[in-house]
Amino acid sequence: MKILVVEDCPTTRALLGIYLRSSGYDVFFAENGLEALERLAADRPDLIMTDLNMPYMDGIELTRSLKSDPAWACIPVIVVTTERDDEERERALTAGAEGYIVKPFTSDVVSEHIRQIMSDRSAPGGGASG
Amino acid sequence: MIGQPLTEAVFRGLRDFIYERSGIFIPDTKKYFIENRLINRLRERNLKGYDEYLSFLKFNGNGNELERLFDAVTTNETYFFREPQQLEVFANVIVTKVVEQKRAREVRLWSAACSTGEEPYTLVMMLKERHPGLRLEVVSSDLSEAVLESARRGSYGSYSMRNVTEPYLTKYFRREGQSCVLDPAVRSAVRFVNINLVDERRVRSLRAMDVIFCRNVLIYFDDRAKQKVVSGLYDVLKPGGFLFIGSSESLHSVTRAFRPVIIDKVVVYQKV
Amino acid sequence: MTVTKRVTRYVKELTAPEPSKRRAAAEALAGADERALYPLIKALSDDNAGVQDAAMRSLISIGGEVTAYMVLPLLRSGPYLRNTARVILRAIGREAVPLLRQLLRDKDDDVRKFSVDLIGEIGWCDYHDDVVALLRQDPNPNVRASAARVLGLFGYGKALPELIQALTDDEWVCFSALEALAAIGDDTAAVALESILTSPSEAVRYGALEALGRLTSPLASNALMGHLATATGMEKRLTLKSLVQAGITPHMFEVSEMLLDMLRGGDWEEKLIAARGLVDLRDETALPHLADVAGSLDRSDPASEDRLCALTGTLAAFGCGEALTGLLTDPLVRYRGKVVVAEVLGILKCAPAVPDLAVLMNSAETEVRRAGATALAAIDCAEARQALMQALSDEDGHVRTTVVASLGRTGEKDAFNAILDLLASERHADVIRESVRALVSIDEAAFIDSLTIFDGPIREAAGRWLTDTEALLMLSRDEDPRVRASAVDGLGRTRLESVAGRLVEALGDPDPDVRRAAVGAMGEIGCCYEWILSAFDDSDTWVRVAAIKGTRAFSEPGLVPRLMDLSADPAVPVALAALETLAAISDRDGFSALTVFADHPDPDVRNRAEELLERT
Repeated sequence: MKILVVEDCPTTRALLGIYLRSSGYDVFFAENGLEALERLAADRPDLIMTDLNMPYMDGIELTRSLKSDPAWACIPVIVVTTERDDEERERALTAGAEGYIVKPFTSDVVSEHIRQIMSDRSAPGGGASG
Repeated sequence: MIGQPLTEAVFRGLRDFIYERSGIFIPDTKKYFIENRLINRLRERNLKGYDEYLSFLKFNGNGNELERLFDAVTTNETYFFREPQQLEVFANVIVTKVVEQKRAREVRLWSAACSTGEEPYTLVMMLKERHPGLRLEVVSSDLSEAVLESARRGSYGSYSMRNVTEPYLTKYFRREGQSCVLDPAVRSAVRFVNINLVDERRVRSLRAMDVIFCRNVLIYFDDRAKQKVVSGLYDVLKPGGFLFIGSSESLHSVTRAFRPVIIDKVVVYQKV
Repeated sequence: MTVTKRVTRYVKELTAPEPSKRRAAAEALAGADERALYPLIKALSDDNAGVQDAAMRSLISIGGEVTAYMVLPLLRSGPYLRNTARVILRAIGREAVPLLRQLLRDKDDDVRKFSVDLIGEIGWCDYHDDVVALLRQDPNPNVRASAARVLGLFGYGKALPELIQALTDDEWVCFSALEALAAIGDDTAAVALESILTSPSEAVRYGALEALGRLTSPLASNALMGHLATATGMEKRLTLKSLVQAGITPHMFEVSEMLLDMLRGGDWEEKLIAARGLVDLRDETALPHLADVAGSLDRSDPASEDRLCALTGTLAAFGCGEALTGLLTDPLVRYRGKVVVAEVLGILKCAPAVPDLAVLMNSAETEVRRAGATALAAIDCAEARQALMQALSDEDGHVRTTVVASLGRTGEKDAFNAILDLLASERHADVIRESVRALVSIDEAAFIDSLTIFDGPIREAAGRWLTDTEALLMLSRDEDPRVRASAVDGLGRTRLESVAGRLVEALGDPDPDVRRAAVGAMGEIGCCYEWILSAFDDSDTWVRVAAIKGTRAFSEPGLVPRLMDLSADPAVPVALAALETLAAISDRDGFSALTVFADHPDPDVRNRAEELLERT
């Protein structure tokens, strides 16, 4: 399974790369929402994990953009937020994200989250619209 | 014959001068490369040293030498049908979209930094094949007059022709000795103009383009110059217009004014 | 007054109905004063992305502390605005840093984190200890992690104790601390790093492995060697990477295989490390892969240059042997790989490779033939020259240039007629130049005899390379001014006083390039001083400049006042040349004469005068 990680901090990218690869996922990266949209040209991920705070196009705008495009709308999106307030999380869900996760988190937490979201999709009558 | 080697001070002077005039940024590691490239310029101009050359560049009225310098410094060897996946998306999808948006069978194209002309001519040939009867206005620009002259002549060697296949080869080219000459109908469809991409005034002389190609030239610029150039391209495009840059290039840390659109695995930028 | 009106007008247009007008207004406010700040900040929230972009760039161009101050509050806004503020503050740079200091104690976690990150991105700070305090005691782990990372970016060694302490903090903080320790590279951390190699967390182990690879102490390398034996999979590969980076490539069975995997499948950092390791092992089975990886680089991409250099060096390190030369005929190596191999063989001057390089000259690929020609020219033995002779009629200009240059250097008599024939129909400037040079070098007399059949560009090139005085004199009377100029320049090279008469004549030539060459030649020979002085009044700037430089060869009294007079010359290059010459012939008089240039209208001249005066 392939995951696109969208994150502007190189250290965080490195760390997430380790977490996800050791859980058996294939990972590729983008530095911000615009690069993420570009990367979709060559590679179609099964899930997108995006940081919220990035220059040029942040995670909320990326999520909205993905969900409004029929080509990408069905790819689940997890938004990574810092524990700021409920407003932030609401924003993510309103934009269409399937989930959010608060940093910092451990490798187990993120793979559990991913498993949950992927199984919600394949459950009958559940998951995001295709 | 040439006295001293290229000193740090003169290299900086040349580097800054080139950057100011063209946005092209020459990193320190390329000092040796520049030194080599310039020896012939010095010989040709009968100058005895790199410091004299810099002085000559700065104060010589007609700017002719500056163009020769740009030529010497950019290693862009181009050829017909470069990056065919992009060209397919352009000819098959983008042009159709443009025509629909405009409700007119007409397309205005700009090939920026066209070098010896292979790119604009490729676009014209493809459109003649795929969209016969479409009205074309093709502008093609570069900052070197010598290279534009060569483009207007439309005569090419084997390196440029490496990707040309049928029907194009037979329909649009004629062999002349070791070169291939392009059909006059294709040549006359392109207007070549001298435009330096960091010269805002010159860039602004173009208007309302539907599609711009600016491939493999942004790599020569640093971030600041890139932003300036891309901003200029944005202004020249009609709203809804499209921009193609090199497939290994990106605008993601340059501007948010363009939206990347993906068509058949090719990234095209749209002015929204 | 006008400036004020313009700012007011553009600020008004920021609310025009058409987006293109709003964008133009935003752009026009670049470099404006502080009145534009608030309206531009509002324009960041415009509906249109082009307007947002222009507003952002204009704020950056205004820059400065006041802009930073006014943008700071956006860090508390929604995602788009706060992230745009980050871009602006980062671009403003150092001037924003003092303002960020107090934000390190802000009650909002995100604001503290953004501030630390920004300091790191800007790359300058004069309160590192405040950042260390954050690492030590900030309640939020994301802030502590950022603090650790930024201390690493600054290479702030004084933070070592806190960074080592942070290895027991939350995993994200620990990981950032490990990165910082890697960046700082202080051996004191070795013990702590070794002890966490047994951490249950994979990420922590990975971070530790990277950091150990940057240390030089034997403790670190021993720890890595020990770990190599017990680790598996990805972790084993990472351990090997660190060892190779530290300069140690273990000669163990699977190491070669692992390095090959890294070479073929890793990212560029890994590829280059793998290449180093494979060279250390002198593993020849890696050669075809190294060649292909090097060949896969896109040379038009400036980023490729360093990588190509590293890989070429790696291939060269294997030395001129069958393993390397065999690559030229290896069907598994793609043509781009062969290009690199040919280049390397040329660098190594590998004579045994000549037969295989000669075969390359028949390739359909231009790049292959070019590389082959360059390599053969570099090797330069008799066999190589034979092979090059065959390539004189190659359709590619670069190939012909290389071939001719090489044949000329070695004075290959057999080549003379062939090059002469080539010249008759040659149009490529580089080839013409090298052909003339070669012919002159092989048999100048024979070339001179054939000169009359050639046209302008060739006769001009002849002027550049000929040494025969009679021939130069003849060419100096050519009908083409470029030929005359080139020949006159050539006469200067002869250093013969006997040509002085001709040079004086040439000083009256209608073409300024010829006159310039004449003056230059006089200076080189060291004759005709009075005539050089008379050229101070020539109508052409560059003739005057050449004349000034020409006087340098003479130490004549009375020159200094003449040069000082030139401070009134309208052309800047003339003033600069006079300045430089005065400095060059300096004695006390020369230097005090420089002061007359210190008030010159042109700033370049004034600056240079000051610089030179400072040196006295």
